[in-house]
Amino acid sequence: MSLLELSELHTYYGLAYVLQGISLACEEGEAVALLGRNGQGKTTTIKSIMSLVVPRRGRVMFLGKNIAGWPPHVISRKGISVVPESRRIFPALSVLDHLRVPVAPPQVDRAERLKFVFDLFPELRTKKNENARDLSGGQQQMLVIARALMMKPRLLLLDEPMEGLSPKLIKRVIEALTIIQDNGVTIFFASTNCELAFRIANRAYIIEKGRIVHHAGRDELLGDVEVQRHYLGVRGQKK
Amino acid sequence: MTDLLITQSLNGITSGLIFALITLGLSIVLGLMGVMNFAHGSFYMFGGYIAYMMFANLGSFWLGLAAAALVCGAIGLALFVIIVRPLAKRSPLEALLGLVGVSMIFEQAARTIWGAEPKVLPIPFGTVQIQAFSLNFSYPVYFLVAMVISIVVLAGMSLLFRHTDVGIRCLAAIQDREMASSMGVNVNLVSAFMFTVGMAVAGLAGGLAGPIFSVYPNMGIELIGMLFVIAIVGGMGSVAGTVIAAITLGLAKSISSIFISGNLSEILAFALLLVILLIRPRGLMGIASVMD
Repeated sequence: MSLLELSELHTYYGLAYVLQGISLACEEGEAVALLGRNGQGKTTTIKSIMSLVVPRRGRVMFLGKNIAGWPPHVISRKGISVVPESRRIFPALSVLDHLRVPVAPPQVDRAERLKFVFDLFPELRTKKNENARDLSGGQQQMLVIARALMMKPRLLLLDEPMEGLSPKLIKRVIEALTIIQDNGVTIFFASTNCELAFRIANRAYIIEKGRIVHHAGRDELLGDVEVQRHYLGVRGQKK
Repeated sequence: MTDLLITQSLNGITSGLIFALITLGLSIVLGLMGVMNFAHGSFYMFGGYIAYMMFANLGSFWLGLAAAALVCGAIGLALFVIIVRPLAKRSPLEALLGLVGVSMIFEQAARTIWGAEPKVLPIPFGTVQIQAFSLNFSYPVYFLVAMVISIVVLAGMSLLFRHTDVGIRCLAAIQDREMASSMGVNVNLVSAFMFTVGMAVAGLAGGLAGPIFSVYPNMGIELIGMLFVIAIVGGMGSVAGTVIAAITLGLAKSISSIFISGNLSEILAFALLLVILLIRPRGLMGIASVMD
Protein backbone atom coordinates (compact mmCIF):
# COMPACT_ATOMS: atom_id res chain seq x y z
CA MET A 1 0.00 0.00 0.00
CA SER A 2 1.36 3.44 -0.98
CA LEU A 3 1.57 6.16 1.67
CA LEU A 4 -0.25 8.56 -0.65
CA GLU A 5 -2.27 7.61 -3.67
CA LEU A 6 -4.33 9.94 -5.82
CA SER A 7 -6.70 8.24 -8.19
CA GLU A 8 -8.76 9.94 -10.87
CA LEU A 9 -8.78 13.26 -9.05
CA HIS A 10 -10.94 15.95 -10.66
CA THR A 11 -10.84 19.48 -9.24
CA TYR A 12 -12.57 22.65 -10.36
CA TYR A 13 -12.32 26.34 -9.48
CA GLY A 14 -15.92 27.31 -10.10
CA LEU A 15 -16.43 26.43 -13.77
CA ALA A 16 -12.70 26.10 -14.50
CA TYR A 17 -11.83 22.41 -14.84
CA VAL A 18 -8.28 22.30 -13.49
CA LEU A 19 -7.37 18.74 -12.49
CA GLN A 20 -8.72 16.36 -15.10
CA GLY A 21 -8.24 12.94 -13.56
CA ILE A 22 -4.88 12.97 -11.78
CA SER A 23 -3.51 9.63 -10.60
CA LEU A 24 -0.17 9.23 -8.84
CA ALA A 25 1.40 7.56 -5.83
CA CYS A 26 4.16 8.11 -3.25
CA GLU A 27 5.75 5.27 -1.33
CA GLU A 28 6.80 5.66 2.29
CA GLY A 29 10.20 7.37 2.64
CA GLU A 30 10.73 8.45 -0.96
CA ALA A 31 10.90 11.90 -2.53
CA VAL A 32 8.69 12.48 -5.55
CA ALA A 33 8.49 15.58 -7.74
CA LEU A 34 5.52 16.92 -9.63
CA LEU A 35 6.98 18.77 -12.59
CA GLY A 36 5.27 21.08 -15.02
CA ARG A 37 5.19 24.57 -16.42
CA ASN A 38 3.29 27.30 -14.58
CA GLY A 39 -0.49 27.01 -14.62
CA GLN A 40 -0.65 23.27 -15.34
CA GLY A 41 -2.19 22.23 -12.00
CA LYS A 42 0.75 21.59 -9.64
CA THR A 43 -0.49 23.92 -6.87
CA THR A 44 -4.06 22.69 -7.31
CA THR A 45 -2.86 19.10 -6.86
CA ILE A 46 -1.24 20.02 -3.53
CA LYS A 47 -4.30 22.04 -2.48
CA SER A 48 -6.56 19.13 -3.42
CA ILE A 49 -4.56 16.73 -1.22
CA MET A 50 -4.98 19.15 1.72
CA SER A 51 -8.66 19.87 0.87
CA LEU A 52 -7.86 23.55 0.52
CA VAL A 53 -9.73 23.06 -2.73
CA VAL A 54 -12.13 20.17 -2.41
CA PRO A 55 -11.95 17.74 -5.37
CA ARG A 56 -15.28 17.00 -7.03
CA ARG A 57 -14.38 13.43 -7.90
CA GLY A 58 -11.65 10.92 -7.22
CA ARG A 59 -9.83 9.62 -4.19
CA VAL A 60 -6.96 10.85 -2.04
CA MET A 61 -5.79 7.76 -0.17
CA PHE A 62 -3.44 8.40 2.75
CA LEU A 63 -2.43 5.57 5.08
CA GLY A 64 -5.19 3.52 3.52
CA LYS A 65 -8.00 6.03 4.11
CA ASN A 66 -9.75 8.24 1.59
CA ILE A 67 -9.16 11.73 2.98
CA ALA A 68 -10.64 13.63 0.01
CA GLY A 69 -12.81 16.44 1.33
CA TRP A 70 -11.82 16.04 4.98
CA PRO A 71 -11.30 19.38 6.78
CA PRO A 72 -7.70 20.60 6.31
CA HIS A 73 -6.98 20.63 10.05
CA VAL A 74 -7.96 16.95 10.33
CA ILE A 75 -5.80 16.00 7.33
CA SER A 76 -2.91 17.91 8.85
CA ARG A 77 -3.25 16.13 12.19
CA LYS A 78 -3.32 12.78 10.31
CA GLY A 79 0.28 13.43 9.27
CA ILE A 80 0.43 15.67 6.19
CA SER A 81 2.14 19.05 6.40
CA VAL A 82 2.33 21.63 3.68
CA VAL A 83 4.88 24.29 2.71
CA PRO A 84 2.90 26.57 0.41
CA GLU A 85 3.99 28.57 -2.58
CA SER A 86 5.09 32.15 -1.76
CA ARG A 87 5.80 31.04 1.82
CA ARG A 88 2.69 32.57 3.41
CA ILE A 89 4.21 33.44 6.76
CA PHE A 90 2.05 35.03 9.45
CA PRO A 91 3.57 38.52 9.19
CA ALA A 92 2.67 39.70 12.67
CA LEU A 93 3.99 36.63 14.51
CA SER A 94 7.52 36.03 15.74
CA VAL A 95 9.60 33.03 14.63
CA LEU A 96 8.88 31.21 17.89
CA ASP A 97 5.16 31.97 17.68
CA HIS A 98 5.12 30.48 14.17
CA LEU A 99 6.41 27.25 15.62
CA ARG A 100 3.63 27.30 18.25
CA VAL A 101 0.82 27.56 15.69
CA PRO A 102 0.79 23.92 14.46
CA VAL A 103 -1.50 21.60 16.40
CA ALA A 104 0.47 18.37 16.44
CA PRO A 105 -0.96 15.02 17.54
CA PRO A 106 -0.63 14.48 21.35
CA GLN A 107 2.24 12.00 21.05
CA VAL A 108 4.47 14.63 19.40
CA ASP A 109 6.94 16.21 21.82
CA ARG A 110 7.09 19.93 21.08
CA ALA A 111 10.48 20.41 22.77
CA GLU A 112 12.00 17.61 20.69
CA ARG A 113 10.52 19.12 17.53
CA LEU A 114 11.85 22.58 18.39
CA LYS A 115 15.33 21.11 18.90
CA PHE A 116 15.07 19.28 15.57
CA VAL A 117 14.05 22.35 13.55
CA PHE A 118 16.56 24.63 15.29
CA ASP A 119 19.33 22.10 14.65
CA LEU A 120 18.22 21.93 11.03
CA PHE A 121 18.07 25.72 10.66
CA PRO A 122 20.33 27.30 13.31
CA GLU A 123 19.57 30.78 11.89
CA LEU A 124 16.05 30.46 13.24
CA ARG A 125 17.30 29.80 16.76
CA THR A 126 19.22 33.08 16.79
CA LYS A 127 16.24 34.96 15.37
CA LYS A 128 13.52 33.18 17.35
CA ASN A 129 12.13 36.37 18.90
CA GLU A 130 12.20 38.40 15.68
CA ASN A 131 9.12 39.17 13.68
CA ALA A 132 8.76 36.82 10.70
CA ARG A 133 8.23 39.68 8.26
CA ASP A 134 11.69 41.04 9.17
CA LEU A 135 13.46 37.84 8.03
CA SER A 136 15.12 37.52 4.63
CA GLY A 137 13.35 35.51 1.92
CA GLY A 138 15.61 32.52 2.54
CA GLN A 139 15.04 32.63 6.28
CA GLN A 140 11.30 32.85 5.71
CA GLN A 141 11.50 29.73 3.55
CA MET A 142 13.38 27.94 6.34
CA LEU A 143 10.73 29.13 8.79
CA VAL A 144 7.82 27.73 6.81
CA ILE A 145 9.61 24.39 6.40
CA ALA A 146 10.31 24.39 10.15
CA ARG A 147 6.67 25.29 10.84
CA ALA A 148 5.50 22.33 8.77
CA LEU A 149 7.94 19.99 10.56
CA MET A 150 6.55 20.91 13.99
CA MET A 151 3.66 18.53 13.21
CA LYS A 152 6.15 15.65 12.83
CA PRO A 153 4.51 14.75 9.52
CA ARG A 154 4.66 11.42 7.70
CA LEU A 155 4.29 13.29 4.41
CA LEU A 156 5.63 16.74 3.60
CA LEU A 157 4.09 18.59 0.66
CA LEU A 158 6.07 21.49 -0.77
CA ASP A 159 4.94 23.87 -3.48
CA GLU A 160 7.93 25.33 -5.36
CA PRO A 161 10.24 25.15 -2.35
CA MET A 162 13.22 26.61 -4.23
CA GLU A 163 11.42 29.37 -6.10
CA GLY A 164 13.02 32.80 -5.82
CA LEU A 165 15.98 31.62 -3.74
CA SER A 166 19.66 32.28 -4.43
CA PRO A 167 21.85 29.29 -5.46
CA LYS A 168 23.39 29.27 -1.96
CA LEU A 169 19.98 29.09 -0.30
CA ILE A 170 18.76 26.48 -2.76
CA LYS A 171 21.70 24.33 -1.64
CA ARG A 172 20.65 24.85 2.01
CA VAL A 173 17.05 23.89 1.28
CA ILE A 174 18.13 20.79 -0.65
CA GLU A 175 20.42 19.74 2.21
CA ALA A 176 17.61 20.27 4.71
CA LEU A 177 15.11 18.28 2.64
CA THR A 178 17.63 15.44 2.35
CA ILE A 179 17.99 15.35 6.16
CA ILE A 180 14.21 15.47 6.53
CA GLN A 181 13.85 12.53 4.14
CA ASP A 182 16.60 10.65 6.00
CA ASN A 183 14.46 11.07 9.10
CA GLY A 184 11.75 9.01 7.46
CA VAL A 185 9.54 11.79 6.08
CA THR A 186 8.09 11.21 2.62
CA ILE A 187 8.43 14.25 0.38
CA PHE A 188 6.15 15.26 -2.47
CA PHE A 189 6.87 18.59 -4.08
CA ALA A 190 5.94 20.70 -7.06
CA SER A 191 8.62 22.29 -9.20
CA THR A 192 9.16 23.84 -12.61
CA ASN A 193 12.87 23.01 -12.55
CA CYS A 194 13.65 19.45 -13.58
CA GLU A 195 17.37 19.54 -12.75
CA LEU A 196 16.90 21.01 -9.26
CA ALA A 197 13.99 18.69 -8.54
CA PHE A 198 16.12 15.61 -9.16
CA ARG A 199 18.65 16.77 -6.60
CA ILE A 200 15.96 15.72 -4.12
CA ALA A 201 13.57 13.39 -5.92
CA ASN A 202 14.21 9.89 -7.16
CA ARG A 203 11.29 9.97 -9.59
CA ALA A 204 8.84 12.48 -11.00
CA TYR A 205 5.43 12.92 -12.55
CA ILE A 206 4.94 15.51 -15.28
CA ILE A 207 1.66 17.37 -15.31
CA GLU A 208 0.24 19.24 -18.28
CA LYS A 209 -3.19 20.87 -18.51
CA GLY A 210 -4.37 19.05 -15.41
CA ARG A 211 -3.32 15.58 -16.55
CA ILE A 212 -0.31 13.41 -15.71
CA VAL A 213 1.39 13.00 -19.07
CA HIS A 214 4.64 11.32 -18.10
CA HIS A 215 6.16 9.43 -15.21
CA ALA A 216 9.81 8.43 -14.95
CA GLY A 217 12.75 7.88 -12.64
CA ARG A 218 15.64 10.33 -12.21
CA ASP A 219 18.07 8.86 -14.75
CA GLU A 220 15.43 8.25 -17.38
CA LEU A 221 13.97 11.75 -17.21
CA LEU A 222 17.28 13.60 -16.93
CA GLY A 223 18.48 11.69 -19.99
CA ASP A 224 15.36 12.43 -22.03
CA VAL A 225 15.88 15.94 -23.35
CA GLU A 226 12.96 15.60 -25.74
CA VAL A 227 10.48 15.02 -22.90
CA GLN A 228 12.01 17.85 -20.90
CA ARG A 229 11.80 20.22 -23.87
CA HIS A 230 8.26 19.20 -24.75
CA TYR A 231 6.68 19.34 -21.31
CA LEU A 232 8.96 21.56 -19.26
CA GLY A 233 10.33 24.00 -21.81
CA VAL A 234 13.93 23.00 -21.08
CA ARG A 235 16.44 23.95 -23.77
CA GLY A 236 18.81 21.24 -24.96
CA GLN A 237 20.15 19.26 -27.84
CA LYS A 238 17.62 17.13 -29.62
CA LYS A 239 18.71 13.49 -29.58
CA MET B 1 -10.15 75.13 34.39
CA THR B 2 -7.25 72.74 35.09
CA ASP B 3 -9.46 70.74 37.47
CA LEU B 4 -12.13 70.48 34.79
CA LEU B 5 -9.57 69.46 32.16
CA ILE B 6 -8.20 66.69 34.38
CA THR B 7 -11.67 65.51 35.37
CA GLN B 8 -12.70 65.35 31.71
CA SER B 9 -9.45 63.59 30.79
CA LEU B 10 -10.08 60.92 33.44
CA ASN B 11 -13.67 60.57 32.19
CA GLY B 12 -12.36 60.25 28.62
CA ILE B 13 -9.86 57.54 29.60
CA THR B 14 -12.52 55.61 31.55
CA SER B 15 -15.04 55.71 28.72
CA GLY B 16 -12.26 54.95 26.21
CA LEU B 17 -11.24 51.85 28.15
CA ILE B 18 -14.86 50.68 28.28
CA PHE B 19 -15.17 51.28 24.51
CA ALA B 20 -11.97 49.22 24.06
CA LEU B 21 -13.46 46.37 26.11
CA ILE B 22 -16.57 46.30 23.96
CA THR B 23 -14.69 46.67 20.68
CA LEU B 24 -12.13 43.94 21.22
CA GLY B 25 -14.55 41.06 20.63
CA LEU B 26 -15.99 42.82 17.58
CA SER B 27 -12.50 43.32 16.20
CA ILE B 28 -11.48 39.69 16.71
CA VAL B 29 -14.63 38.32 15.06
CA LEU B 30 -14.24 40.71 12.13
CA GLY B 31 -10.61 39.67 11.63
CA LEU B 32 -11.08 35.97 12.26
CA MET B 33 -14.32 35.31 10.39
CA GLY B 34 -14.82 38.39 8.22
CA VAL B 35 -18.19 38.80 9.95
CA MET B 36 -19.47 42.26 10.91
CA ASN B 37 -21.30 41.44 14.11
CA PHE B 38 -24.06 44.04 14.26
CA ALA B 39 -25.50 42.27 17.31
CA HIS B 40 -22.32 42.94 19.29
CA GLY B 41 -23.73 46.11 20.87
CA SER B 42 -26.72 44.10 22.12
CA PHE B 43 -24.40 42.13 24.41
CA TYR B 44 -23.13 45.37 25.89
CA MET B 45 -26.79 46.31 26.48
CA PHE B 46 -27.65 42.89 27.96
CA GLY B 47 -24.63 43.14 30.25
CA GLY B 48 -25.95 46.44 31.55
CA TYR B 49 -29.42 45.00 32.21
CA ILE B 50 -28.08 41.84 33.87
CA ALA B 51 -25.90 43.92 36.21
CA TYR B 52 -28.91 46.14 36.94
CA MET B 53 -31.15 43.13 37.69
CA MET B 54 -28.60 41.55 39.99
CA PHE B 55 -28.06 44.83 41.81
CA ALA B 56 -31.80 45.54 42.09
CA ASN B 57 -32.62 42.02 43.36
CA LEU B 58 -29.53 40.92 45.28
CA GLY B 59 -27.88 44.26 46.02
CA SER B 60 -24.50 43.04 44.80
CA PHE B 61 -22.74 45.02 42.11
CA TRP B 62 -19.83 42.57 41.83
CA LEU B 63 -22.14 39.59 41.41
CA GLY B 64 -23.89 41.61 38.71
CA LEU B 65 -20.62 42.14 36.84
CA ALA B 66 -19.73 38.42 36.98
CA ALA B 67 -23.26 37.41 35.89
CA ALA B 68 -23.16 39.93 33.02
CA ALA B 69 -19.98 38.34 31.65
CA LEU B 70 -21.11 34.74 32.16
CA VAL B 71 -24.64 35.12 30.76
CA CYS B 72 -23.46 37.16 27.75
CA GLY B 73 -20.74 34.59 27.05
CA ALA B 74 -23.31 31.78 27.14
CA ILE B 75 -25.76 33.66 24.88
CA GLY B 76 -22.84 34.49 22.58
CA LEU B 77 -21.88 30.83 22.22
CA ALA B 78 -25.49 29.89 21.44
CA LEU B 79 -25.70 32.72 18.87
CA PHE B 80 -22.46 31.52 17.27
CA VAL B 81 -23.67 27.92 16.96
CA ILE B 82 -27.23 28.67 15.86
CA ILE B 83 -26.86 31.78 13.68
CA VAL B 84 -23.33 33.01 13.04
CA ARG B 85 -21.53 29.85 11.95
CA PRO B 86 -24.21 28.51 9.57
CA LEU B 87 -24.72 31.95 7.94
CA ALA B 88 -20.99 32.79 7.77
CA LYS B 89 -20.41 29.48 5.95
CA ARG B 90 -22.68 30.73 3.17
CA SER B 91 -21.35 34.31 2.97
CA PRO B 92 -20.28 37.16 5.27
CA LEU B 93 -23.13 39.25 3.82
CA GLU B 94 -25.75 36.72 4.95
CA ALA B 95 -24.17 36.68 8.40
CA LEU B 96 -24.25 40.48 8.49
CA LEU B 97 -27.95 40.60 7.55
CA GLY B 98 -28.78 37.86 10.05
CA LEU B 99 -26.97 39.72 12.83
CA VAL B 100 -28.74 43.01 12.01
CA GLY B 101 -31.99 41.06 12.53
CA VAL B 102 -30.70 39.56 15.76
CA SER B 103 -29.76 43.01 17.12
CA MET B 104 -33.28 44.27 16.38
CA ILE B 105 -34.83 41.26 18.10
CA PHE B 106 -32.58 41.77 21.14
CA GLU B 107 -33.44 45.47 21.36
CA GLN B 108 -37.18 44.81 21.16
CA ALA B 109 -36.86 41.99 23.69
CA ALA B 110 -35.11 44.38 26.11
CA ARG B 111 -37.80 47.02 25.53
CA THR B 112 -40.53 44.42 26.22
CA ILE B 113 -38.87 42.98 29.33
CA TRP B 114 -37.46 46.12 30.97
CA GLY B 115 -39.36 48.97 29.29
CA ALA B 116 -38.06 51.93 27.30
CA GLU B 117 -37.11 54.10 30.28
CA PRO B 118 -33.40 54.14 31.19
CA LYS B 119 -32.46 52.18 34.29
CA VAL B 120 -30.08 54.00 36.54
CA LEU B 121 -27.59 52.05 38.59
CA PRO B 122 -26.32 53.97 41.60
CA ILE B 123 -22.63 54.83 41.42
CA PRO B 124 -20.95 52.68 44.09
CA PHE B 125 -18.13 53.76 46.42
CA GLY B 126 -18.80 57.54 46.64
CA THR B 127 -16.14 60.10 45.75
CA VAL B 128 -12.53 60.83 46.56
CA GLN B 129 -11.10 64.31 47.09
CA ILE B 130 -7.97 64.82 45.02
CA GLN B 131 -5.61 67.47 46.38
CA ALA B 132 -2.20 67.74 44.78
CA PHE B 133 -0.13 70.68 43.59
CA SER B 134 -2.72 73.33 42.74
CA LEU B 135 -5.42 70.74 42.04
CA ASN B 136 -8.42 70.32 44.25
CA PHE B 137 -11.40 68.37 42.96
CA SER B 138 -13.60 65.43 43.89
CA TYR B 139 -13.85 62.39 41.62
CA PRO B 140 -16.09 59.28 41.77
CA VAL B 141 -14.08 56.30 43.06
CA TYR B 142 -16.16 54.02 40.85
CA PHE B 143 -14.73 55.63 37.69
CA LEU B 144 -11.23 54.75 38.89
CA VAL B 145 -12.36 51.21 39.78
CA ALA B 146 -13.91 50.81 36.29
CA MET B 147 -10.63 52.03 34.83
CA VAL B 148 -8.62 49.45 36.81
CA ILE B 149 -11.00 46.57 35.97
CA SER B 150 -10.85 47.51 32.27
CA ILE B 151 -7.05 47.63 32.32
CA VAL B 152 -6.85 44.24 34.07
CA VAL B 153 -9.24 42.61 31.55
CA LEU B 154 -7.48 44.19 28.56
CA ALA B 155 -4.09 43.09 29.92
CA GLY B 156 -5.55 39.59 30.33
CA MET B 157 -6.72 39.62 26.70
CA SER B 158 -3.28 40.79 25.59
CA LEU B 159 -1.67 37.95 27.56
CA LEU B 160 -4.15 35.50 26.01
CA PHE B 161 -3.11 36.60 22.52
CA ARG B 162 0.61 36.78 23.08
CA HIS B 163 1.33 33.99 25.54
CA THR B 164 -1.15 31.17 25.00
CA ASP B 165 -1.34 28.68 22.15
CA VAL B 166 -5.02 29.43 21.52
CA GLY B 167 -4.32 33.18 21.31
CA ILE B 168 -1.37 32.73 18.95
CA ARG B 169 -3.43 30.37 16.78
CA CYS B 170 -6.22 32.94 16.73
CA LEU B 171 -3.78 35.63 15.54
CA ALA B 172 -2.46 33.22 12.92
CA ALA B 173 -6.00 32.52 11.69
CA ILE B 174 -6.76 36.25 11.54
CA GLN B 175 -3.71 36.67 9.26
CA ASP B 176 -4.22 33.58 7.08
CA ARG B 177 -7.20 31.38 7.88
CA GLU B 178 -6.36 28.77 5.24
CA MET B 179 -2.75 28.42 6.33
CA ALA B 180 -3.69 28.14 10.01
CA SER B 181 -6.14 25.42 9.08
CA SER B 182 -3.39 23.58 7.18
CA MET B 183 -1.34 23.65 10.38
CA GLY B 184 -3.98 21.62 12.22
CA VAL B 185 -5.80 24.61 13.72
CA ASN B 186 -9.54 24.02 13.97
CA VAL B 187 -10.46 27.55 12.97
CA ASN B 188 -14.16 27.01 13.70
CA LEU B 189 -13.38 26.00 17.27
CA VAL B 190 -11.02 28.95 17.74
CA SER B 191 -13.73 31.23 16.31
CA ALA B 192 -16.35 29.82 18.71
CA PHE B 193 -14.02 30.35 21.66
CA MET B 194 -13.11 33.89 20.65
CA PHE B 195 -16.74 34.79 19.88
CA THR B 196 -17.76 33.59 23.35
CA VAL B 197 -14.92 35.49 25.05
CA GLY B 198 -15.72 38.61 23.01
CA MET B 199 -19.39 38.52 24.03
CA ALA B 200 -18.50 37.89 27.68
CA VAL B 201 -16.17 40.90 27.69
CA ALA B 202 -18.85 43.05 25.96
CA GLY B 203 -21.32 41.97 28.68
CA LEU B 204 -18.82 42.87 31.36
CA ALA B 205 -18.32 46.28 29.71
CA GLY B 206 -22.11 46.79 29.77
CA GLY B 207 -22.18 46.01 33.49
CA LEU B 208 -19.26 48.37 34.13
CA ALA B 209 -20.85 51.13 32.05
CA GLY B 210 -24.25 50.83 33.77
CA PRO B 211 -23.52 53.22 36.65
CA ILE B 212 -21.72 55.66 34.31
CA PHE B 213 -24.05 55.94 31.30
CA SER B 214 -27.30 54.28 32.58
CA VAL B 215 -28.94 51.30 30.83
CA TYR B 216 -31.52 51.54 28.02
CA PRO B 217 -32.67 49.32 25.13
CA ASN B 218 -30.88 51.04 22.24
CA MET B 219 -27.60 51.71 24.05
CA GLY B 220 -25.93 48.96 22.01
CA ILE B 221 -27.31 49.87 18.60
CA GLU B 222 -26.38 53.54 18.95
CA LEU B 223 -22.77 52.55 19.75
CA ILE B 224 -22.22 50.01 16.99
CA GLY B 225 -21.03 52.46 14.29
CA MET B 226 -18.45 53.90 16.65
CA LEU B 227 -17.27 50.41 17.64
CA PHE B 228 -16.60 49.48 14.01
CA VAL B 229 -14.61 52.68 13.51
CA ILE B 230 -12.51 51.91 16.62
CA ALA B 231 -11.99 48.30 15.45
CA ILE B 232 -10.77 49.34 12.01
CA VAL B 233 -8.65 52.26 13.22
CA GLY B 234 -7.10 50.10 15.95
CA GLY B 235 -6.33 47.18 13.66
CA MET B 236 -8.20 43.91 13.81
CA GLY B 237 -7.11 41.58 16.60
CA SER B 238 -4.76 44.17 18.07
CA VAL B 239 -5.38 44.84 21.78
CA ALA B 240 -2.93 47.77 21.88
CA GLY B 241 -4.34 49.36 18.71
CA THR B 242 -7.92 48.99 19.94
CA VAL B 243 -7.05 50.58 23.30
CA ILE B 244 -5.20 53.51 21.67
CA ALA B 245 -8.05 54.16 19.20
CA ALA B 246 -10.72 53.88 21.91
CA ILE B 247 -8.91 56.16 24.37
CA THR B 248 -8.22 58.68 21.58
CA LEU B 249 -11.94 58.74 20.84
CA GLY B 250 -12.90 58.91 24.52
CA LEU B 251 -10.48 61.76 25.22
CA ALA B 252 -11.41 63.69 22.06
CA LYS B 253 -15.11 63.48 22.96
CA SER B 254 -14.62 64.28 26.60
CA ILE B 255 -12.14 67.13 26.36
CA SER B 256 -13.74 68.82 23.35
CA SER B 257 -17.09 68.81 25.18
CA ILE B 258 -15.62 71.45 27.55
CA PHE B 259 -15.40 73.88 24.66
CA ILE B 260 -18.13 72.84 22.23
CA SER B 261 -21.53 71.16 22.36
CA GLY B 262 -21.87 67.39 22.82
CA ASN B 263 -22.91 66.72 19.21
CA LEU B 264 -20.04 68.75 17.80
CA SER B 265 -17.55 66.98 20.07
CA GLU B 266 -18.78 63.64 18.70
CA ILE B 267 -18.24 64.87 15.13
CA LEU B 268 -14.75 66.06 16.06
CA ALA B 269 -13.86 62.72 17.66
CA PHE B 270 -14.94 60.74 14.59
CA ALA B 271 -13.16 63.18 12.26
CA LEU B 272 -9.97 62.56 14.24
CA LEU B 273 -10.30 58.79 13.82
CA LEU B 274 -10.99 59.19 10.10
CA VAL B 275 -7.84 61.29 9.73
CA ILE B 276 -5.87 58.49 11.45
CA LEU B 277 -7.44 56.00 9.05
CA LEU B 278 -6.47 58.15 6.05
CA ILE B 279 -2.88 58.32 7.25
CA ARG B 280 -2.71 54.62 8.23
CA PRO B 281 -5.27 52.72 6.11
CA ARG B 282 -4.41 49.43 7.84
CA GLY B 283 -5.12 50.86 11.26
CA LEU B 284 -2.79 51.85 14.06
CA MET B 285 -1.49 48.34 14.69
CA GLY B 286 -3.25 46.55 11.83
CA ILE B 287 -2.08 43.20 10.57
CA ALA B 288 -1.27 43.87 6.93
CA SER B 289 -2.67 40.71 5.39
CA VAL B 290 -6.05 41.15 7.06
CA MET B 291 -6.75 44.29 5.08
CA ASP B 292 -5.25 43.11 1.77
